[in-house]
Amino acid sequence: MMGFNGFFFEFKFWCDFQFFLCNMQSYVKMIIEMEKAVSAENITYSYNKKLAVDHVSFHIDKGEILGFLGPNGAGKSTTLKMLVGLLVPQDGKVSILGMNTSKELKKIQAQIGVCFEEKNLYEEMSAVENLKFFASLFGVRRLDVVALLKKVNLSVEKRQKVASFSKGMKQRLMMARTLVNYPKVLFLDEPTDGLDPVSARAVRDVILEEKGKGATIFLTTHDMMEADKLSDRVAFINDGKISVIDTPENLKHEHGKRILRICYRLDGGVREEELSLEDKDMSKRIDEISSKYSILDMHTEEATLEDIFIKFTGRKLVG
Amino acid sequence: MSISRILSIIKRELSLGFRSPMLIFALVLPLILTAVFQLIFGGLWQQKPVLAIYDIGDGIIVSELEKNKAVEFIEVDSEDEILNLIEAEEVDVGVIFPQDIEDLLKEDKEVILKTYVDGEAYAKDRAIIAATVVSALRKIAPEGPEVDFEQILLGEEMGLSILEMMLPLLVLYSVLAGAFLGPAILLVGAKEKKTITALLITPSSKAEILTAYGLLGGVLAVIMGIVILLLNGGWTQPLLMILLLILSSMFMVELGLIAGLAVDDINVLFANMKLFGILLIAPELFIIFPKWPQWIAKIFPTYYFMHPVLRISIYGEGFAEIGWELLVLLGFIVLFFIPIPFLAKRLGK
Repeated sequence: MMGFNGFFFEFKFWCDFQFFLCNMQSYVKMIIEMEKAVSAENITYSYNKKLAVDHVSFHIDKGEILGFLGPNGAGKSTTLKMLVGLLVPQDGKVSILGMNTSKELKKIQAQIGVCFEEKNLYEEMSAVENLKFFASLFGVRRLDVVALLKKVNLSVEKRQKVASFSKGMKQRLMMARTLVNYPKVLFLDEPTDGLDPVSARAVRDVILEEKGKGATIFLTTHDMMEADKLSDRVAFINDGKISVIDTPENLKHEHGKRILRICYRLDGGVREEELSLEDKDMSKRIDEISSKYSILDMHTEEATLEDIFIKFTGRKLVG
Repeated sequence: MSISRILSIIKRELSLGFRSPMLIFALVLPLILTAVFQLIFGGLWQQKPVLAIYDIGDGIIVSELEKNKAVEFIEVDSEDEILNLIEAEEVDVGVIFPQDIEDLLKEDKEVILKTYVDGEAYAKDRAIIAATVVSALRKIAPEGPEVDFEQILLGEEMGLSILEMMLPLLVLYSVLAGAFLGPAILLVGAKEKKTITALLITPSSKAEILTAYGLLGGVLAVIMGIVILLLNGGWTQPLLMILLLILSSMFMVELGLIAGLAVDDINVLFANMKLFGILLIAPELFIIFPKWPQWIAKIFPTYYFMHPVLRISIYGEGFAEIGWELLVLLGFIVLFFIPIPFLAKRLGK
């Protein structure tokens, strides 16, 4: 009897252990999923049989900025539209904050902020009226409009009609509008495109401030410098497919060409020479140049994201 | 569906006042059109109907009639004088009161009044004169007898005045401007300026946005319909007329939403309106030309709005007479709702 009990105990133990392991696996999976603010799995969209986004998968962790880089027509905006629910993926699925866009879109939209490339503001209304109107649609009753406009340097112009705003002012107001519902996830489509340096700086400051508050940000851009400065990770998209996704540092480290550029005087003229930092004989060559010639300038040059983009896609971001 | 979001969208449009093209179309243009029609065809400043009275008796009825300010009176001394005045188009109707009319009234006997009617006199003027005479007789004998008019028509029968014929068109335009153009302009404008995408990424659903636009246009259309009917003297049977205006506005809102969802450019919208507008106003042609085969008018959905307007406001008919027309209109409302959800899928793409 005891033996049977022992056997039974043993059998039950292993069952429980197996059950525990299975549950652990799903708990871990759930925790990982919870950490993902945005998740796109194999999303696909085509316009008139032309694939704009081709089975794209990626995720954004909570509090992370993902720079989504690609030239015009690469599929950035289509991807963004699928993420925010303006387009329904023809294949694949999108989850935001653990909710599926096909099932709980309106719940999701209540918690996200979207800044479009087009300045789709109500031009006949003032900045304050625009913000109040959108806040009312989100059910936000107590919005500190003054603070929000101050954040984007539009305090002085708050009563002016948007029609009289410059492009930069409109974009800053768009950023302010994106924040009326205190979003957890921000989707920003080319937020600094074509802006003057002051406006671009103001927009970047807002992005970093929101990240500081814990917001997750999906940022499409074709400005490599901006992506490099702001993003925790970048994804390169070209012809509707993601070529690579990683941190800017890793990409530069793994795919960049690290060089040392030396300028020295030679026969009355100036000569420039590039030396690879990976080259074992580099220091020997530097010694040789410094002993024979007068060095005018010497500096290291890191690969830019642009160089890496070209390496992956074979095309430039702009032009 | 959130009522507060629907109201927010409506409030935004209303807050623009006359900076909103939609409100200009809905509120200003129907009034301008009415003013133009009134100036050209008379109406607002139309003279009172003129009644010639030949009282063979002691004049008690004349003194009672003269208390009424809705009609202008000319007292004559012979039947021939009435005929001459009608021929000269100086009076609309002439009535001869018999010598024994007071006795007839007191004895509760049937009163037959010989009446000469100018064929070109407006139906409404004839109705006002008849009501005034009956009212005067009732004052003399409150429990008085039945009054019968023995009518003799002089000249060719005109039936309706131009303004009366145009009334359904004016009311149609006021409903069209608010309920059709309103939602259509708002939708196309939002698509052109891309503000529709800004709305769609808020918790506002497509249904809420379309309801807000439709409700705004529809309510303005009903209000303007009432105003236009009041201005043109066609406001009778308020409940029935409001029901008709609500159903017509619902139908026009659906057409406006269909147009607004299908078209992406304001110029294309107006080009299509020019092209297909004739289908909306076609029944008016059959009112102006009553000898045309009237069954053709019944093909057009707007017939079931324009025809009841005429029948209620001019002929004073009620629900029993126009009920089936309202039922057909309701059928069109159900039918034209079907494509809206399908077209709405395009919104924001």
